[in-house]
Amino acid sequence: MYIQLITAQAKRRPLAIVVLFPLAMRPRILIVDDLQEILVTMRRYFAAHGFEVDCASEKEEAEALIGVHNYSVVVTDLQLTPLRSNEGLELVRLLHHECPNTKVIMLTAYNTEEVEKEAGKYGVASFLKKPVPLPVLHDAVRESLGR
Amino acid sequence: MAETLLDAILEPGSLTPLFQPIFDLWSSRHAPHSFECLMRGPKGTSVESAAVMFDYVRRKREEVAVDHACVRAALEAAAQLPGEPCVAINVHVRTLAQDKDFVGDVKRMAEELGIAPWRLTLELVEPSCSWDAQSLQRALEELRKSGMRLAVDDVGSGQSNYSMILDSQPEALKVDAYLVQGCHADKHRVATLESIVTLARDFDAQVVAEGLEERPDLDTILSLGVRYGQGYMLARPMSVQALVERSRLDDPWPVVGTVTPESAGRS
Repeated sequence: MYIQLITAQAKRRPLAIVVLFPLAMRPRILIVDDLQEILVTMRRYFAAHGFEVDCASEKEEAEALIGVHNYSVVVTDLQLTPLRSNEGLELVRLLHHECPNTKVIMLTAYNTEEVEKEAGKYGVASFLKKPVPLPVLHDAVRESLGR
Repeated sequence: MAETLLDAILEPGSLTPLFQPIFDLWSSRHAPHSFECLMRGPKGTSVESAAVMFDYVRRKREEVAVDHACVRAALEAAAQLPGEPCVAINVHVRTLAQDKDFVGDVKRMAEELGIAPWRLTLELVEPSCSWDAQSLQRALEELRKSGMRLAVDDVGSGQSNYSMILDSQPEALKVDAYLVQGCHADKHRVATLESIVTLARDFDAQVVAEGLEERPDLDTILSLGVRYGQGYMLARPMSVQALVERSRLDDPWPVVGTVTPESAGRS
């Protein structure tokens, strides 16, 4: 239901908003989540807002993309596989060591103080509780980029 | 529909093999010496790029399954190439060490498709991972007995190191584009390339310069005695269909006609 709502929201945004960023300056964003519906929705939303968007549904896929592309922002879920907890934190550690300039926003449905503290140690820019309305996430992304 | 990205990669028909010609730079003959098969991942996925796909596969530790799929796709495509060209296929060292049936499987697949073993070179890709040295030696011996040839890929960059050259005694050293690109203006790159050429001579191995994109680099490569090369300035990776169509032209490889050892001051 929530997905449907934000999908509708994403669809209402005119594609012409792409002009916010000239093509050469488009920030590249990586969205990491194990739910395809979320990836599809976020891809559409951020592409419509002038971002170059890549999506990954597995930690290893995200790591491989990070090894090849320079991302301005990575938005990652904390839990990427139902049976393996906190994989998002492993990704955050990798980014902290290998791409210190990349801003990271972490999403989770199971917010715990301990995890948030751990993420903070690795420079996570924002820690947001799911479900996150897309405009709120967009604000967090903008803020992390200093826009 | 594939459930995971790995399933998508392993789905029959999902991989796209392209072939990049390798030229004998000393020859004025307008034809490729051989081809390297370069694989592309499933279209429309994040792993369409080979760099992302193989990094993903290594992180998942699924090199064996994916190398099998890649070799099958490469051989099926190679069987359709015009003429009977030699073809190089990339294989992870770990696959050779882990799968004792791999070499036999490659040979059997090639036979089924009518490709003679002498036409095949396995290019050893050696990312940062460990393997069982004894198992690898057994696989390399089997490979030699099969009649296939060996090359060490990405020499001079990443993890490709002297121990692999010593252990595998390859017929070819493929020099990484990192060393080749810009070599005309960099005496340190030239010195490194010279050392590889000397090493190859002692091993009786061919040297193939990868990533040739600019004429000055090609001239430098030739002046160092490197005989084989591949890169965008010579020919881009092409599909089987494109190669078949090109083979019908009167002068299919006009670019290489301009490249001779003499033009770089080497006879």
